[in-house]
Amino acid sequence: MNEELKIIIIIFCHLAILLLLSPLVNSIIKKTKALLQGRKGIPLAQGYYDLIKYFHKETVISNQTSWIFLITPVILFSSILLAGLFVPLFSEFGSIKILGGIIVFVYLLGLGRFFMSLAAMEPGSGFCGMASSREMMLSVLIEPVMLLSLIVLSLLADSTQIFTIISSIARHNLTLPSTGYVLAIIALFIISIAEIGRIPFDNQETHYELTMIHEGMLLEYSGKLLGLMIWSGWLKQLIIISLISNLIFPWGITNTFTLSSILIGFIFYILKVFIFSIFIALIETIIAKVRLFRVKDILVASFVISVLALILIIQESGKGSLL
Amino acid sequence: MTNLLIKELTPSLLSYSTVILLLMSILIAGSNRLQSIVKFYAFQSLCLVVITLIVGFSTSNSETIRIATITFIGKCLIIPLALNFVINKTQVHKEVDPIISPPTTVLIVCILIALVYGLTSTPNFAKIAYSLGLFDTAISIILIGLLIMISRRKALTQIVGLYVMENGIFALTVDTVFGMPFVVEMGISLDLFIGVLIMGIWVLRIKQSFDSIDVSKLSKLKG
Repeated sequence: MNEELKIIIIIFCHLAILLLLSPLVNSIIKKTKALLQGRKGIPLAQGYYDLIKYFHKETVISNQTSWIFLITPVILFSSILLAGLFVPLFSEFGSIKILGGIIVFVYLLGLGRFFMSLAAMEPGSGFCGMASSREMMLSVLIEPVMLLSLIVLSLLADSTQIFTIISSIARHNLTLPSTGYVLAIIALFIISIAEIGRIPFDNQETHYELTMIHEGMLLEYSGKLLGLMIWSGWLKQLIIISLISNLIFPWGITNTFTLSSILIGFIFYILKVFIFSIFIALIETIIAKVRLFRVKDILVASFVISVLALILIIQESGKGSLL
Repeated sequence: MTNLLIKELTPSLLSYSTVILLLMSILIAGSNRLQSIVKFYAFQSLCLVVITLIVGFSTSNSETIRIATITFIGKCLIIPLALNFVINKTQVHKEVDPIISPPTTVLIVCILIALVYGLTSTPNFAKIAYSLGLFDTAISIILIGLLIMISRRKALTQIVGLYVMENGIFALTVDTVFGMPFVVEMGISLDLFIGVLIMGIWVLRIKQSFDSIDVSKLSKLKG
């Protein structure tokens, strides 16, 4: 088998895992939350049932909308799926290593978000417009911190490729990690929870129009388009979870192409994702959602943490020792 | 084996304590609940004690270890307890309307830290003192304490700001001369303990006669 064919096979596996695992991960978070709150919760396959139902329903579109409303689900879905290819899941070959790495990753997510809030303003519904302006307010605060903390990690590894960052962290895992790395990971963790719209920042399970952010933007969508939007939300959640869990536990990602190593990498990956989803459910259970106007305080805190990480990294690298 | 482990762990323990020292002062600057401010202060002092202990054991200086013990008793136990007592007595739990709001203070602190780290890493400065790498952190903490003192209205927060500043000075002495002589340190500790007593009584009296511990109200005549 030649090299290119291998890479194509791995990339297809990568895409299939992202698409198939994302509804399950969302259901795991929901189920864990329900169990922790003493409820029975949904079955684990509920995400798939939902998607099948959405794709069988008729799509109703308001006559006030233009082509942007129609094209947004497709752009959102494809940009998030493409961003997913930048994050290595279980194998080195699955991640794209041309282009600018983390910068393209962050702005692919930003592209999807831009179109989503544009489309939410299309039908002229008041709640959609409100949710869209809130999403923009949050993303102004989220994007720089996400980029900054990833830049700190890339300075540690001397590369903007996410796989190189992860493998350079894995090489140093026997000694205690440097303080800059720990601070950057803390900032990245806070910002990831904001990015996937989980509880201290946004409540995904609310159906009260005045408090919705992400859900509020989907109010006017129906049928197949709604299915696509919800699926891309789950995809983004899985991608962010894979990124942060691979950065914290950088083990098990293979760089060889044998069946056994790929299988081990895959099992490690599934374990990491499940543990992380359960952890997120735990955080959602013990922390209350903060007021929208206090959200900026938490985000400012994570911004300061990442700036501190950057300062420490620069100072350390001045003395000649990295990580 | 254990010797090797200690040799491996000591630098990272030192750098972690240094970073927590800085983080705690940022948290004090960014918080407006008085009780959590006192908790952060106690934790910051604990990190300082850890650093002093490391210095004491690595230079095998018994005086430094004694200073660490006194610091632990005073700054981690007595001062937080006294401050908590004052908080419970005055029933003021929140810094309501500070002159600079906490998130803005944190951003200013961020700029301050960047400036200090930038200035102290110039070659001229590095020649003077660079023993533990605590120097720039200590300077930042002194400035953060000053910022807390001038940006808050409640007398209690201003007191904590003063103590944060004092922690910064302590860190500076630990960094540059590996701790002060025991007699000097005893004098400073005594000053702090008497200070917390006097200032506690002072805050209670302000509360009694003005019904508030907001220092901006002190300029009004009371008749």
